[in-house]
Amino acid sequence: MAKAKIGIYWAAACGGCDCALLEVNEQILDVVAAADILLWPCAADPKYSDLRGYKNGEIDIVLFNGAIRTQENRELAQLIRTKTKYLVAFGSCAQSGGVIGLANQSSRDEIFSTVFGDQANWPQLSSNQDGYDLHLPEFLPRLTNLAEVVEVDYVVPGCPPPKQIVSALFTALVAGDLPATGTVFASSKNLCEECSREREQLKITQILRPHAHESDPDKCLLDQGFMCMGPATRGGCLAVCPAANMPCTGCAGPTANIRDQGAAMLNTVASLIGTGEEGEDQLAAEDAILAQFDDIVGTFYRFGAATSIFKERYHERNATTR
Amino acid sequence: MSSPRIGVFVCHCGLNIERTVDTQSVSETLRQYSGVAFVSDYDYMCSDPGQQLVSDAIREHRLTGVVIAACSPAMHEPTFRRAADDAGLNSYLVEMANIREHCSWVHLDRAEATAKAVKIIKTMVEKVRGNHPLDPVRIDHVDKCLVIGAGITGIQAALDVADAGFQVLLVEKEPSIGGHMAQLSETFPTLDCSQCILTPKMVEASRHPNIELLTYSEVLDVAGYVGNYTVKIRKNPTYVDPDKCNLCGDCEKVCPQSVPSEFERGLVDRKAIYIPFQQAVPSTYTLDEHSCLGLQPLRCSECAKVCAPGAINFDMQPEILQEEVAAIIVTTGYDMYPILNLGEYGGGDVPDVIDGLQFERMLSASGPTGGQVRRPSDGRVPKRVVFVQCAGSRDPENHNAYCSKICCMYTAKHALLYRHAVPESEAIIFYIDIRAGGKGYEEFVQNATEHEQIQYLRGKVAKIYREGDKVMLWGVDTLSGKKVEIEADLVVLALSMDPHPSTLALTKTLKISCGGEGFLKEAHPKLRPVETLTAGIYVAGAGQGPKDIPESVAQGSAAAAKTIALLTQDKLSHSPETVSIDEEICGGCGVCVGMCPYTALSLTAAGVAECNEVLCEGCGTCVSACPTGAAQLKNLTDFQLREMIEVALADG
Repeated sequence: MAKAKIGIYWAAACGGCDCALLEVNEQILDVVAAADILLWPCAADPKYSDLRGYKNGEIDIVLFNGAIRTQENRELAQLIRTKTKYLVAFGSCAQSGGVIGLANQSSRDEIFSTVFGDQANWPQLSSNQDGYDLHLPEFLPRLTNLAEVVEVDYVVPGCPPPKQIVSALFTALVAGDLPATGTVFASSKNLCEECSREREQLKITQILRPHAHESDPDKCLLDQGFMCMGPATRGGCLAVCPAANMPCTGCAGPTANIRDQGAAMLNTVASLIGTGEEGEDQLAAEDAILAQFDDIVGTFYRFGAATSIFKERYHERNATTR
Repeated sequence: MSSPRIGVFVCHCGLNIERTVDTQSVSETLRQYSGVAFVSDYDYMCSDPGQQLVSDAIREHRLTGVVIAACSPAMHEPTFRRAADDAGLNSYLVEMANIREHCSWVHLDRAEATAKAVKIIKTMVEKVRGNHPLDPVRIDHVDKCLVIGAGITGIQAALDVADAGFQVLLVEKEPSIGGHMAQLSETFPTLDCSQCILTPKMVEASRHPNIELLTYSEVLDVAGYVGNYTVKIRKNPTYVDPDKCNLCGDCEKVCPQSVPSEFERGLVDRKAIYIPFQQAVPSTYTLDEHSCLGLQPLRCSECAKVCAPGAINFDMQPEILQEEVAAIIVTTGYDMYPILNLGEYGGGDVPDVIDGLQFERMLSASGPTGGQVRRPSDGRVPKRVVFVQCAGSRDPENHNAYCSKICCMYTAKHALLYRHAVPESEAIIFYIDIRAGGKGYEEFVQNATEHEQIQYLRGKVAKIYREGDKVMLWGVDTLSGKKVEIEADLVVLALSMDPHPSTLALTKTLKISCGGEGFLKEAHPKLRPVETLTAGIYVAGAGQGPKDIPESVAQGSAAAAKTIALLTQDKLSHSPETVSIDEEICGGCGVCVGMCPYTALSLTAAGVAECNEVLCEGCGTCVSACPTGAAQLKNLTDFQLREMIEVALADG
């Protein structure tokens, strides 16, 4: 049997997903034995020309991590799509925009001002340095996930994808036994299924943050007032964060029936907030609880802001291109 | 699956829709819409020929779904679902697109209304496209009902259901049935003796072979669903064996503890061991453990010592009964607005300022004064009595905003009876408006004003206080515009009617709702006045809102009729438009369980949510709270809603 040809690519990413691939330890040797890695910028030094040289569909599968932030990200995603049979959105950024999707809350000018300061220091699409013409890829007006740019066959969720999920993908890969396209390599159920904490169905009467308050290690974090995203998040990670006293931040994205993870969890939290007794002061008391939120978008859309229903903050888009 | 063939039927509703919506143009547009196989419009789709048109089209065009563009589904959804069923199409593939209440009635611009009607219909086409055939849920039921509260309303309801041949459990919190009607002297407008017309019904209720009477009892818990409610009832100990008690009254004579009599509205005292009134049903003494010296032979056992038949048993314990009932009729009744809240009228402070029920007891031949009107302060017969209507009613700033409805009538009656009872007396009534709607009511008030020399003063009383042995009233006569100051011997306040204080807690037990004023809430104020939103639970009487005896009795009978209609069915049917849980997705977080107002949801041992479709009323509360989308309403899934919203928000 011919060896499979695989690729690994990073777009707007932190590098964590590439590291996560190695978390499977010696299983990576099985992968290398079963497949040739044609593309892995993080580990080798392939050139775009190499990639362009492959025939359409020549690569069997590409694990694509990172979001689409720049024109280069977009072009590479489109190029890779033509060269590979199967494309995997690997990690939260490729799946749903990830943490950096929160940047859609700011305009490009705001982002540049924050990062580069004075407009004079902003990077230019074209410039000449020491006699060389330099070209930078365009910084897209809005960050997107991979699926908004090209068709995606599989999703491997997580920030980064946990070891057992990566391992399951590799096992299927090595065995040449990939599931039906559209499969998300995670549990179909929410995280609560895997979480060992006990839930007492309590009303939420206060909003606590993990850096400021200690939590009871045996009781449901939501019951205690910590905004654990577990209920609105796919399982598959074995609830490692809640097991370590950290509320789930929702990196695996929502279950199949949910269009907008943050909205789903906000609905849930809104339903759970309550002061017990019905009465005249109830609404005011509930408003007071809601006022305890410091960062609603960052809490409920930490990984899904770019693919949420609202996608970005409304702002007059600056028409100048850089 | 083959492609959908949806029929759209556009109703003109005479001119109701046609006047503002161009139904021809709507029909033309819909004919081009994807999935629509047949479109027709008609003057009155709900008429027989209109329904026939729908049935025929279903058969001829092999329709897989139907959208009736007409009025609200609350009006004719059952009509068309039945018509579809007759034509062999599952009822739940039929939906109403409301282009009347939601469109033609609320718009003036014909072009815009027509465009909106098209959108409304398209959204319903999208809904029907996602609908699945469903079958009603069939439920077995027990043959018994529970009536909570045995005032005149509850007694009437219980008798009607029992006469139809079904078992009734009649639960009353007080030691005797009869409610407030037992306290009344004579009833307006016919002036028949209240007890004379009530007590036969009380006796009948206690003797009826189909009625089990549980007095001094309270409903603790209700679980289950229509046809199969499980109720827990606590029968409080009376410490007197009713079978042994011979009503000799010896116990009462020796009892050293006196407390104000509830039945006599505190005009006189009763003993700790007492019978509320002579005609009480059941006819037995009750030892009130809260006022008894201690239920201990060592501390005081005077009553037990003198009780010849040995009926008194200090060791009696509360009994917890569990019963299965198919339906529940709630008749919790009313209470008077607390007189203490009316400080400006000397409430609770001036002894000769009393409430209407106290006055009833005075007028009653069986009352503490033997039917004579006497001042509580010194027992003298008052020569001038001032009656103040709307005391605590129609006063949104300070008291209840609503009208208590019966006060105009009973105040006229009070004044009239007082004038008859005390010669040379003067009766003055302060009123805001006279509301005497009802058979013979206006004539009654007219007679009081014209022939009984009762003086009606239109205006509000500002202040009532004591001066010497008189009661002073300051007020305004709004007809003359003058301030008035009246010196009265006795003042009778027509206090507002409040829901009984037990109402709120009971509604929580029953999971039914109260309106803003605290009265029991009906399913629809006009068309479903005795039903609640929970199937099999009915409300009637003054607990639902202020009303007089005839209305209360009518509601009691109405609730009984609803109950009988339920009990006579072989099996009950329940809408299948309930919640389903996708077990592949549900991770068992349990958020939904706590949300369900009908306790339809629970977590299984396997750790997934489960919906009892018999209990589920399809409200969707759990669906919006479910963080995984595992909970979905059948035929109104998130997917369907998204499709509908997309069509609604699309251009054109």
